Amino acid sequence: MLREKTAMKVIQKKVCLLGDFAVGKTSLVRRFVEDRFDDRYLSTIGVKISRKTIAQSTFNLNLLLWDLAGSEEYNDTESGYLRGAAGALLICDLTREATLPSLERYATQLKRLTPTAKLVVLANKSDLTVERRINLDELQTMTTHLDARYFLTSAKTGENVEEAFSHLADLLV
Amino acid sequence: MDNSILEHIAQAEQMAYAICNAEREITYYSAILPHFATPEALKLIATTNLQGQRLELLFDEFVGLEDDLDLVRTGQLNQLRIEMAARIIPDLTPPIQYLTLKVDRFEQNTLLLTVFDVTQQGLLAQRLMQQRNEFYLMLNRLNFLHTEMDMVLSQFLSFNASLFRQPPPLK
Repeated sequence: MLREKTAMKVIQKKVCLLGDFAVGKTSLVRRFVEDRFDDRYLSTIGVKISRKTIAQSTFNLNLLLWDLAGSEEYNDTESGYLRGAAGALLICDLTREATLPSLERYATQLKRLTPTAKLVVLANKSDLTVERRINLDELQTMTTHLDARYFLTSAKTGENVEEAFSHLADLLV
Repeated sequence: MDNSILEHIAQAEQMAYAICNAEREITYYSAILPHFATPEALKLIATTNLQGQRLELLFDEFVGLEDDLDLVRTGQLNQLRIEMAARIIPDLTPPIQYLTLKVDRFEQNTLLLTVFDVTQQGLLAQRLMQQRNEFYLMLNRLNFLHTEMDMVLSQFLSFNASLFRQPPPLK
């Protein structure tokens, strides 16, 4: 049994988290990888890569989560930010309307480099119900257009975070 | 150039370099390179000698980029560059390190990796970005409150207007 466990194959996949600033990309990674939440906002620059291993029946899937900042840098085709990504989590903030249409731009940039990349949309901050500015119809229209499933998530409460990441992991194997 | 001079310059400039063969295995590296490899990856390889190790096993940044590294080696892609890759290093104050990694085509079908420590620039850029983003968030919040206030005011006004539309009470 132990021998089987140590000999288990490991598959590594690069996954990018894309979205406007302060939509909660870092918080979602932190919730998924470390199962914790920090209320302070600390903007990310460049990229921070985190690892999370998901055990599958016959192998381990090692997700390398690229928590990216600022969209300007993605345009450079020689930049390694988006190259080689097997999938992406496109994240919008339910309390900021302008963060939804941006997802199309991120998806286009990624698909230009990796046409087969799998996409999942996370509409984050679902716990802030009073301040919500994006309705489900708008979200549905966008995700249908992107050919992606969406999840209403909250990095704060943990709602649907595991489900969204696991759904992408399933698409990647 | 004498290797010891090159090492001296590299250390003084907080940069590291490595040469990789066609299989992306490190064939030569500067002494400071292990300081810039992914800490979790270094723990896994259980040796201090990086020679023969594959680039993508030492640097998480290159996982998924194997085909692109081959394109660089064969000259079909000019360069591969990853700016401001952040590492959490608990021993440092502040506990973060920012690196810029570049891979170029080198002589005889090999790759040249150069890694630059850009922590100081990274910390400054982070501070600027933080201020900019907080400013935009505040603007967004103001817009939100403005809209809310408009709604309350319009409700108040329509309520008052409806009062005025009431017929005068019968005497």
